[in-house]
Amino acid sequence: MPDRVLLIPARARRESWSIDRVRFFSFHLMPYRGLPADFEDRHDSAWVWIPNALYDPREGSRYYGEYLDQLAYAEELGFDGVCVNEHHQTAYGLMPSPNLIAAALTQRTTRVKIAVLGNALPLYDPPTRVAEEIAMLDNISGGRIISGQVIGGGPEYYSSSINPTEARSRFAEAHELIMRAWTEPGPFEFYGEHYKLRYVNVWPRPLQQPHPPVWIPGAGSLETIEFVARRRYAYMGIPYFHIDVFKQTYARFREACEQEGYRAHPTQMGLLMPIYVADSDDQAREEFEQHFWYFKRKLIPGLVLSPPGYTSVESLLRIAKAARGGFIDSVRTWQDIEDGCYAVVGSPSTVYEKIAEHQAELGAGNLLGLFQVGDMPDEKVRASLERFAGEVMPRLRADFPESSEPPPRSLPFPDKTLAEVS
Amino acid sequence: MRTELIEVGGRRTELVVGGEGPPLLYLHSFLGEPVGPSELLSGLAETRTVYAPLHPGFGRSLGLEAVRGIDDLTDHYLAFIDAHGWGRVDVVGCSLGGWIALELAARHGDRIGRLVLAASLGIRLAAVPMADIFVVQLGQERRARELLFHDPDHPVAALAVPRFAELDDERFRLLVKAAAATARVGWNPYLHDPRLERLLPRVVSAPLVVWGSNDRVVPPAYGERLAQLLPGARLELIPDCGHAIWLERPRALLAAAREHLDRPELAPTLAAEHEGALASAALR
Repeated sequence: MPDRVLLIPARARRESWSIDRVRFFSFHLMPYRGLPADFEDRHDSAWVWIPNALYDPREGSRYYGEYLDQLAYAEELGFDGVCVNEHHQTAYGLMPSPNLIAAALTQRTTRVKIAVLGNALPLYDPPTRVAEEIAMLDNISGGRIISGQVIGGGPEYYSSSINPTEARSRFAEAHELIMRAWTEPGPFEFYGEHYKLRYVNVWPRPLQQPHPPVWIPGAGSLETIEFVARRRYAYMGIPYFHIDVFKQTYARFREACEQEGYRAHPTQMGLLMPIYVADSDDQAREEFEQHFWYFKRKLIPGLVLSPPGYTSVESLLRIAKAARGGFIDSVRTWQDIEDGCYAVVGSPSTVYEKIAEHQAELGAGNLLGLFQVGDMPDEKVRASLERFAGEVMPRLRADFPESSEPPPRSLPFPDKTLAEVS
Repeated sequence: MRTELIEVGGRRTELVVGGEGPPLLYLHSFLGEPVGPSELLSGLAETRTVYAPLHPGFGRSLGLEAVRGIDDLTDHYLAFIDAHGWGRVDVVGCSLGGWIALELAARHGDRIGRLVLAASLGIRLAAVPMADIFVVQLGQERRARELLFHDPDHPVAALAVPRFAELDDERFRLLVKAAAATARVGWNPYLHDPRLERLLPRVVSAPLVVWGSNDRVVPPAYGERLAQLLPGARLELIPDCGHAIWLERPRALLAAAREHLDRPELAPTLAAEHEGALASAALR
């Protein structure tokens, strides 16, 4: 379609990808820190039905300020990007609209990528709303947006009353609609099972052409891995699994890319982990541990709520058998945390060594650190960010130098095989 | 009872069938009970040829993707009735199956004969909330038993809802699929059809409505309301019984169902009342 090429602004035609082999992102959940000490004795979930009377707006307002400052500070410290995410009706994260936080960040930063990880597509009707907002953010930020697109966790289907048995087909359809809205000259008609739109004609169009990078979070299911590999997007491992689970997942992803006829590019893989850096290992544990338990005991319960039909029968069977260990909800002791690498905690050398060790095997080009964990106060977050940026990041960057190989281009819709495209 | 795989409207359908006598269509609950032994089904089969198909998505029945709402199940059973060449068929429907039976009777009354509704879903009473069956998670078998049974320690409760750790792969699949197939039609609006209630005065079957006195999923007030709305309906409350009547009190349900299915034709006065109800429904 030659006329589409003519529409691309000259500025965006240049390769806009960073090609560092490892890029560092500061990821934030924006949790509610003020849950009472006996919360877990009285409530079984921080999600869906956690009484919102527990939310104190004066506290919450202060958290938003601190959290936005922390994300902006990451740019100052030399991070490559920041990440926000979407969760509803929960103390786990106060970002029901990650796009609003991203919008604020476009005005607080000038350089970093802003990754929305991601918009839960089935919760938007019509999903062109996501195409519009991400395109707006991309224009406003000067082309710094990464568009994460997710099905949304199990609790979101209780919170929204969207039918969980339609989650996957709604996601697939909404995703195609959004990608086409960004790349296909409008107006056009979209006629799907869930969405029937007479006129799709999104204004503005994204600044990054043909569209902002797409990251898809996944929990290891083969369907998602193959989908991401096939479309040449980036795969983001959903966190809180044992490190061995991630190693299997990324091995599977690399295999899936090879089956598609190409080698997985580092920028196509992202790993998220809680990180805390202090002057010594002992100090790090002492400062960090209580906040991890707040996170694990108060905020995690409810995260794994699984509405019927949300996960395929065979996947559930596999999860049910694999469960017993392997996920954060089974973590009981500090040793469990260390063994499973549920958090990387220690002196700068320790944190560097642990990440380098896993990174050598995982080859993930996007390292997402969760620095604010549970009820961790602002000063600790900042100190840990500073030590990580000053003493860990440079060593990792040196170990994993730049790659001259550009990342693969995503496949356009309508769906084509590699052979058809080339 | 034997199991067959048949095609209904192009969908593979698992059918449990057996017995002797005029045909009787049994529409099962959200538990998918025709799989496994059933005192109710074998009892009904003593005087009837019982057809107990598994709804799309349950057991080995396929075709759930094309089901977007309860009306798709209604159409599916209309196709089932057509495929068997029945002009009119008697129906026993439990819970989810009762809802489908109500839709059939309200929208295709000419195809439905005698009707028995046990703990039927399908309507909503604003003042009497139903329990949320979908919040019960895998592994919460105690919670599930308490929801479904008057006596969660009744041996049949443990049979119907086995301990999660003891489930073999086959039972696991059945359970998970049953929940998904139920959510497909009953997630939102929750286990009812907002358009059904106003059609109920059209039902001419003078149904028997059976309810567990201690139904925690759909409280007995729902049975009372259905009995009010359905012309000529009779409500029978079964004491010390929860939602899963077919499991907890199968003999009481069997006796009531048989009595209703075998009783003589409707009295002419009652039939005339129905005509009147129909006429007034049409005027509304």
